[in-house]
Amino acid sequence: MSDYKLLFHLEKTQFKNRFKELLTQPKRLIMYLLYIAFMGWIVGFNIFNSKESTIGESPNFKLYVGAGALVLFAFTATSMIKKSSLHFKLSDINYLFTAPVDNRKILMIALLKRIPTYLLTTVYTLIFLFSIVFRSIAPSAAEVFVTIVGYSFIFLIMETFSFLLFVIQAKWHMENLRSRVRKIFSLVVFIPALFFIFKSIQENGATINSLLLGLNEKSLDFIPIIGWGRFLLMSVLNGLTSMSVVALIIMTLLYVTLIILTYRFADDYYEDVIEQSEKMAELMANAKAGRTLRTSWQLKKKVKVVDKAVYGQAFNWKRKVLLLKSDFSLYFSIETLLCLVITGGLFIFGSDEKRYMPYVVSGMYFYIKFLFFMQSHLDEELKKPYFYLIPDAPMKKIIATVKIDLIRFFINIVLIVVLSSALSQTFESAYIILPFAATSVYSIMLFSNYMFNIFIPPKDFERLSVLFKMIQMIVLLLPSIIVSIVIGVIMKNILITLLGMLVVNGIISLIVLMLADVLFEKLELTK
Amino acid sequence: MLRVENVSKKFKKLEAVKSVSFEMFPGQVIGILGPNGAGKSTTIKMIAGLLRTTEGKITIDGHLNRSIEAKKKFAYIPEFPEVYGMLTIDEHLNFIAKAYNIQDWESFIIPYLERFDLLDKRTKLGKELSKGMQQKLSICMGLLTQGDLYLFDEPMIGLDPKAIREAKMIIQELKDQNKTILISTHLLDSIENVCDRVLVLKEGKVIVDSDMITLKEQHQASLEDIFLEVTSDE
Repeated sequence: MSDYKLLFHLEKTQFKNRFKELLTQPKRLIMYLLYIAFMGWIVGFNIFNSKESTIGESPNFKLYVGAGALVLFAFTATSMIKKSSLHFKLSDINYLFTAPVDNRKILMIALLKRIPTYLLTTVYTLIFLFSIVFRSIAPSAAEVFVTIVGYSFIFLIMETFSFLLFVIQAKWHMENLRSRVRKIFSLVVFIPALFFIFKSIQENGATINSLLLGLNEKSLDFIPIIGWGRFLLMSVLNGLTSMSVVALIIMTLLYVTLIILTYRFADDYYEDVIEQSEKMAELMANAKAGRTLRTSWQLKKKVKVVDKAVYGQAFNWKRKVLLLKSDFSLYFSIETLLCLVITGGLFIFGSDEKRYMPYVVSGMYFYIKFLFFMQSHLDEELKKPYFYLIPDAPMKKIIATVKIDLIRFFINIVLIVVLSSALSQTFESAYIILPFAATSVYSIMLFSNYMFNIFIPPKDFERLSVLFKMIQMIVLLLPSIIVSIVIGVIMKNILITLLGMLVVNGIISLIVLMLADVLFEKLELTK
Repeated sequence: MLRVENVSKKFKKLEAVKSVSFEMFPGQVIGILGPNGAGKSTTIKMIAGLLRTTEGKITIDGHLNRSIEAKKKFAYIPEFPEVYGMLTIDEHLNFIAKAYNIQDWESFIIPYLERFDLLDKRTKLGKELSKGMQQKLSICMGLLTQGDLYLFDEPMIGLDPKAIREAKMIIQELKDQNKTILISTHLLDSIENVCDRVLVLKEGKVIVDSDMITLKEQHQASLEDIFLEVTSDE
């Protein structure tokens, strides 16, 4: 059997099994369908609600997208040169790399497999990015196609280019080749960008608009790969020109050339991809287990937490250590930055009444937290034996585990309220209660995490975690939602409504925690 | 069969393997021993072509170890048997049969699957197998290549007592078939009776290279005691 035939056979068999498994496991199918439905709902909602919106035609929107794309592409490209992202499965390393199969053919298939991966990722990203303006810009199919291809090419080209550098460096022992190319690449991007920003500031004054105009300077579209990619990405907003065709042809030729060169030179790359593949496997395993992703520098960071914690409180100490390793500080996190960005963004773009800003931003923050950080630290701890072994009351252990997360959440909401209140120059007494009410919602979510592990078999819980977390949220928040609606309708007062919510959530949290001492008897280690 | 000549390996500043040389002949079994971090797995991975040598040369049956010709001659049973999650046991074996051009593979492998209690699990996916079962599958995949040289990197890890016994018997059978076997393990008693020769590595260097008979005559002790003695820091 020829090498290509064998490699296709391997891919085909795995794909067939994945499909078969999906059909034979309706629960997993339900989860995927839920995801698709959720995505479809967001996209549909955005498209149909953007009927009256003219945001897509606004020059400011184009400036933000153009500047954002340039910055994103520049950083992506330089970081991809630093570290090759090409990786293989550990099973490939164990059994394919050692088999009598031409390693260049293995590489070729791996590179080709990246095309649909990046195209799908691009479609996914762009759908969310542009769905809100889809109606107002009404792009043609050709414009959408060029945008998707242009965006994908950035990643495909940089990944192949980076790998080629990797190969050349190893083959001819050119120790610092990658770092030198990275420096050159950075200079090619940043010097002209800085020049145009400076020029724009000189002409228009020191404003954000000048910065955006500088980054959107047409000449920057001539920067290899990054500029061309940006130009193609903007097709959906600016329309197609003959330049788009030229850029598309150049990018395609460049990609094909890089593939050919990589195929030509990559006859000895196994060692170079093993490390990255092992890291990737670890990352995937961590993500599957719901563990927080940590980079090696974070793990190596030396921290000292002085705490006289004993028994269950040790979880609080441990959480502090991990957070200090992975974040700016104990109480100000990457999420704090996210909150500030959302607040600022909503202040600039939001058209709603400014007095509602703290509520809207807090809601958005909670939504993002629910969506992307659904697996809490407690979920992670519940999978480890010592959570059950450490001699202390379950209630105390749960509180100790989530205490810092609740404090951090509270601080973030306070910052949101203070910043949006300052920006919108509004103040309401309900703003004072908002952080407490929001934190009460979050606390129920965290405190009750253990409950589903009792009632739902662990395997099902993992497969349908999105569904169960949603149910968890709806069921546990239902009382406070009902109370809030009733109070809101009768009293028409936000402050009292929030107070009602706080009291109800407080009672439910207490019940959930007290039940822990009883229900923990039924819990068992899932793995 | 296998010739390792002055092989060294550097990872940045760390010299993991320092000028290791040895030669293996058909029918010979060499145990490669050493404490954690001694360079055993690195040496085996270099022979299997997964790592480059910083210095030195490795040939298998006269071919450079990274050539296709050499790869047809050896089987590598890795330390961590990460099998394909989405392939069944049968599909793994079918893949190996195709990759190594093995005809009538089923009749060859069925007895081994039976010995490792995998026969009734042939349609199970890799991800459904326990670590021990993955290790058994990994050994079966190695055996199916029907190579002349077998590189076992900690093959007994995760195996149940019955499987360990089977693995030991299989190594003996391979030896009887004039196959060459390089085996790295910490379970010293499991290879004591099957090894012809022992290489002990410490901090990347070969500190002992002796045939079993001479070694035992010199020390008058079990392999475990000899290992502890030669690797001791004092």
